[in-house]
Amino acid sequence: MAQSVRRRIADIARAEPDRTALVGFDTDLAEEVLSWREFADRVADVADALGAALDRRTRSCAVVPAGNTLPAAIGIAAALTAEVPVFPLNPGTPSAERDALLGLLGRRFGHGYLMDAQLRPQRMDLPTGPELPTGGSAAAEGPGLFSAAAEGPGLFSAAAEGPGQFSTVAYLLATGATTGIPKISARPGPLSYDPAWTPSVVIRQTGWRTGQRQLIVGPLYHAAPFTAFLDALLDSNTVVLQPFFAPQWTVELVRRYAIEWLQLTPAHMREILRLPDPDPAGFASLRAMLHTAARCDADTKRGWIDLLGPERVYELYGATEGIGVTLVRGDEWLARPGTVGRGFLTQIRILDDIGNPVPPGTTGTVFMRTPQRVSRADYVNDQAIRSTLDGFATVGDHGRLDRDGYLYLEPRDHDTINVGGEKVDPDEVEAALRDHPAVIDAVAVAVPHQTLGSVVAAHIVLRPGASVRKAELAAHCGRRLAGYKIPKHFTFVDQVPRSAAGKIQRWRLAPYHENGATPP
Amino acid sequence: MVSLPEISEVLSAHPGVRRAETAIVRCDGRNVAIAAVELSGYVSGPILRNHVRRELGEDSGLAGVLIVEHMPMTDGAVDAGYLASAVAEGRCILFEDPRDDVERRLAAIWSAKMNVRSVGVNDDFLELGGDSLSVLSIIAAIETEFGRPLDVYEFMSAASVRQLAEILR
Repeated sequence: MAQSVRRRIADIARAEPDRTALVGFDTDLAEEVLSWREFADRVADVADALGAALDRRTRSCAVVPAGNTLPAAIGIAAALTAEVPVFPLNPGTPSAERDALLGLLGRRFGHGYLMDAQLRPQRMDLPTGPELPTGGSAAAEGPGLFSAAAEGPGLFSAAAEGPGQFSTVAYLLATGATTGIPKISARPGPLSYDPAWTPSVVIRQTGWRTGQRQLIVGPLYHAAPFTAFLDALLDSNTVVLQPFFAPQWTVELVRRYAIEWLQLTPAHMREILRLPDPDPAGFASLRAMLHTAARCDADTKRGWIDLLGPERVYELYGATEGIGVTLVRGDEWLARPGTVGRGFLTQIRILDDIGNPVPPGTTGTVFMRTPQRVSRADYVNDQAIRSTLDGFATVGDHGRLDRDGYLYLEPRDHDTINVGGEKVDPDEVEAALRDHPAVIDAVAVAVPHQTLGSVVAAHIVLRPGASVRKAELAAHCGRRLAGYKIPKHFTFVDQVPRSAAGKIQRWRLAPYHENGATPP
Repeated sequence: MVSLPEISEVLSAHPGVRRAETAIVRCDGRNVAIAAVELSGYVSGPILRNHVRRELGEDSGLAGVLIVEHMPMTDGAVDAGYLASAVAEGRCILFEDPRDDVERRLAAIWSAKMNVRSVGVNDDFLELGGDSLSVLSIIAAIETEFGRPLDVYEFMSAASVRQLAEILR
């Protein structure tokens, strides 16, 4: 039933050689189009070159600098075709972070093959990280993924290999962009095509159709755009790759290529809504917009529901870790504002601090269980996934269920700002600030305070040409927020550090010191 | 009926199990065999129970398997009182046959689509080894058999043959 990636791409190219597989843009932003035949030929050539370069005596992976370009797309497809584990690397990764990531790969792989601009594999020695135990039950406690013990005859383990065998890996993804500590998760492989599994059952619920035209806005080195690209590849779609996000351009690409399916982050959504008069007619071709990656504030959500109508707005909440997902469509959200939906092929349990289930309406830690769950040790480095004896796992999010099983999330602990014992959700403060006509983006952070422990401070990005006094921003917040939630300090910045997935990278912000002094 | 040490031995030989002890426990007025196991990998209770039934026969008498962090011992033997309280608290699902026609038809569908011989009416779908592929084929079969649409969410929240039967009746 299942087909190799090589076979699948060849089959599509044979069936519909002249249909467009990929649309990309070169460095001058000139359009480049590949038909399925051209794409399949390029992928086969690069896969053969990679296979020939491979040192078979040692475990190897391919590293593809994965901006949203045709070479990146071809490189990724080629590695999957050659069944070499592929790691899509953010080409803009600072060197220290890059070394840390390659070190993580070095724990598992002897050689990495960096795909250069001409898609020639260049062998590089990976820095060696700490040794991993190889097999045996001790490995389950070890720092990592790739340990064989967890691949035992578990309920959820995807790999059917016995103890002592290493599972093979289809691809590796860097995660942890919000904490600043790089980590890598791996998906067992090799990747194959099975019409019953491609795309996953949950993605199929979001208006996806085989052969559709879809736009990839987020970068290919992030989980959601990457997996959307793989699904598109195996499902014979036409993919348009936007090399970098610019809201007006995204809208233009949707219109010009009659895009049917689109995945965005809340940050993308906000910027598109801020365009002067976004025209609903420009989105007429769109069957669905799916958003993932970060919490979406209510104003942005309503803005998109107004723009597209509730039946075309989908939201997915789920950790990259594959613990489980919830799905909610716009009409369900309107009936229960703020929910992230019901578990999809996922059982949800809310547990208190000592592990007992709590009734509907009560907040606790969100545990989920799903058949797709990867095995417990599915991480390259240490990972704070806690699980119960019966297979429910959590990434530590807090939330509650209503009586009908809809999940509502609380702000994450590490983001909550504690002002003299009062909890402040930074999302709420940021939403209030963004509501000001002069403000494009905002981040609320905690600042140490002598008596209150901490107070709220804000980094503000102003609309080009706009100006506003700090006192006016404070007054603006005062009309919307309780007193303790109003930022006591404002700093104007050129931009807010966000990961390409749109998550705020709070650790990249210059620290506020006590009483709000910013460093020179 | 096979002996308790035989059951413990078969369980201990399973690659996901570190230690297993079996005891006779009084539940709802009847005596049943229940095993407590410490795991080395992740395996569910129903999968281990079915493993024993496959190795020792459907009439091996093992009603349930309780996953424990540490073996509950009292006076050098596994603590039967602890096992009984786990059953009473719903932490250990006991095998139970269908009690009517709806449950029987549902259990037969699960069994066929999941390729699992013993489906207890209270077994959890995921714990029995269900995956997203079997969800779809089971839902399709139920819709045909009962002539009623069933969505994925209804199915997953029911999770057992008995609760599903209540939705369908």
